[in-house]
Amino acid sequence: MAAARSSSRPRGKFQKKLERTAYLFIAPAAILLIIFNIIPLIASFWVSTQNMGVDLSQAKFVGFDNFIRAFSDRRFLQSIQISLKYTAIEVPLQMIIGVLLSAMLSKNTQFNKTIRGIYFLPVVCSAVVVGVTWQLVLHSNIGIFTYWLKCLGFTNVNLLNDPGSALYVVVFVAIWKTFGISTIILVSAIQNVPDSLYEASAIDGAGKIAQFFHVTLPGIMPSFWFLLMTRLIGSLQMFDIVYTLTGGGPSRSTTTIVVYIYDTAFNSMNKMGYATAMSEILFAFIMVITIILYYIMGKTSDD
Amino acid sequence: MKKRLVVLLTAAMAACAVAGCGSSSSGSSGSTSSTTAGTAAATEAAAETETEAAAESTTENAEPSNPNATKVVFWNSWTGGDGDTLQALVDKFNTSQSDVYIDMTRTTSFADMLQTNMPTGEAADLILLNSNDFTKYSSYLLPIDDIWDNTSLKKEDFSDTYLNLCYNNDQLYGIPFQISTYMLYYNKDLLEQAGYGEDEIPTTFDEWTEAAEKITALSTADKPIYGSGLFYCYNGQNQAAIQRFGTDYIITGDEENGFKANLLDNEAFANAMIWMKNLYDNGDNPKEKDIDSMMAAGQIGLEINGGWLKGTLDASDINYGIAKVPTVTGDDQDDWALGDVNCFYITSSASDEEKAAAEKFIEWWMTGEGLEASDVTQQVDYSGMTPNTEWSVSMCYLNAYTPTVESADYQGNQVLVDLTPSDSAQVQMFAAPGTLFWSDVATCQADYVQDWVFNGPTNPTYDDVQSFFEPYQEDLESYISEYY
Repeated sequence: MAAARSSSRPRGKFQKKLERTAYLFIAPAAILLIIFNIIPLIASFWVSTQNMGVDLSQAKFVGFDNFIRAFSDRRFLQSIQISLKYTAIEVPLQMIIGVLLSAMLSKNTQFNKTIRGIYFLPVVCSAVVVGVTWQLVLHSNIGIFTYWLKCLGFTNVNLLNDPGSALYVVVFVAIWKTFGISTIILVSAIQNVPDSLYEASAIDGAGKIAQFFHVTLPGIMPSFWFLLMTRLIGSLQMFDIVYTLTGGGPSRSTTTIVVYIYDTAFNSMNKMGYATAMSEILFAFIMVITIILYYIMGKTSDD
Repeated sequence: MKKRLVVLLTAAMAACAVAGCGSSSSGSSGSTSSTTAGTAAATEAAAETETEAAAESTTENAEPSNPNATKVVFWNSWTGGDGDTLQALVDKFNTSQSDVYIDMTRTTSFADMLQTNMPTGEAADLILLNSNDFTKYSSYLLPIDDIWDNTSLKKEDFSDTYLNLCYNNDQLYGIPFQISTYMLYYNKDLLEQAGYGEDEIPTTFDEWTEAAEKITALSTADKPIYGSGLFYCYNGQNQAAIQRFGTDYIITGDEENGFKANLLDNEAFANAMIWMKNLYDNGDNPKEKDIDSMMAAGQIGLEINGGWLKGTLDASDINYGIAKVPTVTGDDQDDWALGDVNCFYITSSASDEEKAAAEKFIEWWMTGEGLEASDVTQQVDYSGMTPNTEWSVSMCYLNAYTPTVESADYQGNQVLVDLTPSDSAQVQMFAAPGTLFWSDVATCQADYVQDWVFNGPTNPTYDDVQSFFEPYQEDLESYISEYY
């Protein structure tokens, strides 16, 4: 026993030294996280209890009034509805397209590599470029897409200026811009599924479709969950494409939560506190969804 | 338990990290974001948008000839058809002397740049700002009462009505630059093809409707044409039309007697909205937000807009004319100005030296020598005009500087003379002067016009207007109670 104790002593010291070194290594990231995430998060909560302008001047403490006000603000409630609708359409479509394309492009042939590269191009384009380009393509008067539709016999094509279609256009453009990255992530996940599983399933008589559902899909679930979670969060925070493509219109039909928060913060006087309160609500909402998804993800992995 | 705690903390951390990410891109980019709230996220994304937009709309200034010249950074939002003329005039100033160099940035992101840079003292030294926004930024502006001592400008040379909008607590902060007047642009060829004579320009809103119908009938399968060109989302243009129905301000009254929202029980407003809705529903007005380019392409018969459209139309080959915005009866309403005033303001970012240099530029603008005739495209002989006069005459901007208004060049421009309001005219468009919530009112106006255009009933009646606009009346009343 004594020998065991004495032999553990040097290991303990070494362990502690290692731990100290590890803390040193994570210190830069931790400090940045504290400065740029944790402190602003606390500060933003303070801002949300104030009535103040964008320059943080003339602050007046109003307690939780801004939070109460948000839930009686019909525009905010409308923006939540629009964000949820957008998310409910965009995320499933994005995931389905990502899974199907990744299944088709998983083999490392030259053709597949080229197609993957092409699909990835919109991802590296700036949202501003994407928004402006699609605005021109879909322009009701000079847009090339509008022209093609008119050639096919469609009349009164005005996709961006119709409250009934504008949100779907935003969904389409957002998927067009980001499906490349979903595909790439899932392709690499599929490539990491061991070949032995496919061979074993083939011996058991599984066809391609059965292999897809019983081998491929379970094998890519960690990546799938990661994508699902990040897409969900990204959709709830949709801003850049809406801002450049429709500006939130027509008639606020594409005003998502973040677009409304931005408008409130920067286009109104003295409403930075209120805008921040809405941001806090969005933050809480996203956090709850993230926790639920983590829980489901953990449970699925255990199963 | 420990595992759950780890999951919970990780989830909280992830949500914290990604809450700041307003990008629509997937999580791989989200994790790199370092802000914590949606507002900050939006600003970040908007900043990217704006930076690029600013880069697109910014004109390079020539380098100063004198490296010791005092540099005055000058920001404005004149990115329309008038921007090139403004740039040419600034260039003229820079080459006409060597003591002061104006480094101008014209950007569509002007308002956002101001809001983010003013508090940090990194904004431009000199800006052009709508007087409605004066109260919003007054704490970041420098009083310039000394301009009367430092330059040859005289207070009595400016219209009291407009100069008074530049005062706060008896201190002068701005010098009127232009009155951003809204006018009726009409396509002469389309009116002629619709059977109108050369001088037959709609002067009433009924005539507008009638002409719009006739002009729209000229459409072909290849080229759709619309008689009327209202923008559904352009609040300034819409308000210019609505106000000419005799609606009064959206918010009336004053601080002493109280303010009042003015949408309901307002027959003129109801008539304006019914007129507008019918134009859209009849198909004589496109539901389009890019009306200017359609006007420049010869697809719009009648459009209301400001002088900033003139440069665009001059560059196109359409045959157009300018007249006063119609009224209900055709009688003039010169007790209402058709636009807001924009002023030069010097910000607290300017040093004493930069402030003096900015005042020198303002003095030159009012009294100096402008461009030669060949320098701009508006087909006006600019010889001997001051930059201020040249700006007014070439762009049809009304002016608040009396020597300019009384000049032969200004008086020789019939459009300017016709547009000039009376001395006692109301000089704002949305809310009564001095209201703190102008931007909220303007946003609310954009909301209710769009909602009405897209979701209002067809063939609306006065009662429809009353019920439809009730929530907006409540919104406006809530602004009043919020600020006063």
